[in-house]
Amino acid sequence: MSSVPGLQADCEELLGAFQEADTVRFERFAELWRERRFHTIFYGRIRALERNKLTKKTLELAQQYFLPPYAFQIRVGALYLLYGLYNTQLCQPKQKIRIALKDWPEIQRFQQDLIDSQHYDAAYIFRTLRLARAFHFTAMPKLLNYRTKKKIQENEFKEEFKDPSNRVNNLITNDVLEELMNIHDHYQKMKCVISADKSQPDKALSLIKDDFVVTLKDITLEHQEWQQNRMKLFLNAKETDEIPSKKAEGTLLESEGSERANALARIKYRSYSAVVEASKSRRHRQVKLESSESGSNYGKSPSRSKKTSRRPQPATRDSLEIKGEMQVAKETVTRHIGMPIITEENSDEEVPLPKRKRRC
Amino acid sequence: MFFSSETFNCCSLSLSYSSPRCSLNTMASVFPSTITECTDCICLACREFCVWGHSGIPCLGLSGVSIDMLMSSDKEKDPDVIPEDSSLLTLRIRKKALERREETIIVDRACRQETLAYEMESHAIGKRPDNPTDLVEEGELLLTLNIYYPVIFQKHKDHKPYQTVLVLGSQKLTELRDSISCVSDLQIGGEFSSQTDQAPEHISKELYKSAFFYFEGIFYNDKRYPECRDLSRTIIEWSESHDRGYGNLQSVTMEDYTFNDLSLKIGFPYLFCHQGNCEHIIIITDVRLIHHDDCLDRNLYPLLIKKHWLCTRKCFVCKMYTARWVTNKDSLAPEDPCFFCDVCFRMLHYDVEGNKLGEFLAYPYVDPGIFN
Repeated sequence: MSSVPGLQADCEELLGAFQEADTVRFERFAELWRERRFHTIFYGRIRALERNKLTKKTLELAQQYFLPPYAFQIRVGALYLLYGLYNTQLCQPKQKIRIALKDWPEIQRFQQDLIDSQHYDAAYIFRTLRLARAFHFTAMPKLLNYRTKKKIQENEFKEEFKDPSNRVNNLITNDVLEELMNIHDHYQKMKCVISADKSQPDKALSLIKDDFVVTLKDITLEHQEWQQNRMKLFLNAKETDEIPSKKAEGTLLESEGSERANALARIKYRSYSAVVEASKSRRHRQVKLESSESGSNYGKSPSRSKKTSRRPQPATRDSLEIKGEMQVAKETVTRHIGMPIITEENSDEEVPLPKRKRRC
Repeated sequence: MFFSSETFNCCSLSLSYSSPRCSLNTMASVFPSTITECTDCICLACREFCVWGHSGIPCLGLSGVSIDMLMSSDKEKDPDVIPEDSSLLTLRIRKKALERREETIIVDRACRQETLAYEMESHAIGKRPDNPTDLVEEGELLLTLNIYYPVIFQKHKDHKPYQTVLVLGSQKLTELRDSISCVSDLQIGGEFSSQTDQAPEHISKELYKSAFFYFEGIFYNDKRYPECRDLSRTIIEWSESHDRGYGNLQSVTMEDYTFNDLSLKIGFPYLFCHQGNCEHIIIITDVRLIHHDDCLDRNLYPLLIKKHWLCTRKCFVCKMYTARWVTNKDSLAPEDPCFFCDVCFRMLHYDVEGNKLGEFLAYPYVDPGIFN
């Protein structure tokens, strides 16, 4: 097992609660920790070898939240979490926290940030961990483990933990706007200079909107506000009950997507719920509507169309061939699709088959 | 946006701190492995914790930022018992698994393989040498290597048996070569049905001493003994004969290099070849700095921390002793090849005087599980 079941959910729940508390104070984190009695996460009758592995995996998971791209508050929460897990583990000697070479400058910067913003409790806790020799300084972050994995697990971490990647803001910075403004003014002045009327440029030269820089700034601000609102809404939606939140989410975030999906589902349902009545020649083989649990009975449609297309051919040979052959033809068609259930299962299906082969 | 920038007040007593400045730069270089505790900047208020940081930041001991804040007031009695009303998903899942285990397993105890594995992993932790010159210094690198064994049994095709070895960065490659124990080293060549008592003492390890490592395009050959040959020469000649797409392959001597001299990829398969054709894949899984809790006795390295377990083949007759002889084309044996322990072999195939009974070919057999 490459991950401890349920551990990610528990850690994310704790970090989420810490994020909502909107503070980085250790006392607050300790309260949340005590509420959940998080130190019991190592409990259970586990033998020494298993316990070592479990603790290693736990620390590895918590350590991932300590690094970028997570938000500052989450990283501080992860630091507290590591502190708590390291000290409450039951292994003797204690399992260590791995820090990779590439992450070390980042962590140093983080510590400097903490000191600069006067979050002394977090900085102190980091120092305590270092003094307690809680770290293994390694070349690579993850200890390799050679087992053929049946399924590659994609680590999906919660979106709201991540710092909102503000690419628009990174592109349209204040400097850029200022420069654009300057260039724009310069351009306008040039146009005025070369046109007949010195106070304003010629009509023929008006190729761009005059206030485009201001518009650009407004749009950027709007985007940022929208992003913040979206995050807040997402967080709020998680707080309230499931059904109302689904509604809120559904209406705001997924309205377009779900409408289309609903429309498609309706069309499908209508088309597949009707069953074609088999012709008289095949009245012994009525198609029974079998609803599959997954909700996709799309298999019926192709098989039906195949049956209809094949019908003329066997019909012409009807007089010559025995019915068994048509059964075989149909049987091969339906077997190929595999989904609709044919009510009649003849045990002597095998007999017509060899006959057909001999003829061909 | 996410954090408040309130200034942190150490304690409600609001003392003004005029403690001496701590001049120690605790994070001087990348990865210092020790932090010396500063002794001359004790917080004046509590006299317990160090005033820390360059600006005389007051200690935090008074605010109780300590591990006690994370323990609940009611001490949980037994770490073996999962509390009933836990809000943690992990514990709920674990409880179900434990209950299932209790239902299905009659005796829930560590089997000897598990005990062995745990022992191997932890037997050397914290060891210190008697002789201080053997102490591993700080700043030493510790590599974790997986050495894979050639597939003998079909079931090993998916999960190849391997050993995990810890080596120090300053150790020579020859030390690792000596520590790899492979059953092919112990093979005795030759057919000895006619002269069972004269099975020679020379095992293959002593006859064929050549070996090489292959790391990053360079072959490190063992040249310590005069009979060692350069096994990699064949490969180098082959790659140079046509444009095969392999870069410059070089051949050097193993004993001149330590692990610190190499540049290695983690997770990339490298090769160790001995006995001319017995090849082992070597994969480096981890490189890290030596830690206070590791084994610091240099003589114990390369340290074996994980070993694969192979079932030994037992004698066909008594099913008790490990097989020492294998016979082919044996008219007295029910199957070909057939394995016998020493006693049963002699009793079945030879009479009291030591004459050979029946037709057969007999070879001394070394079981792969001999290292268990």
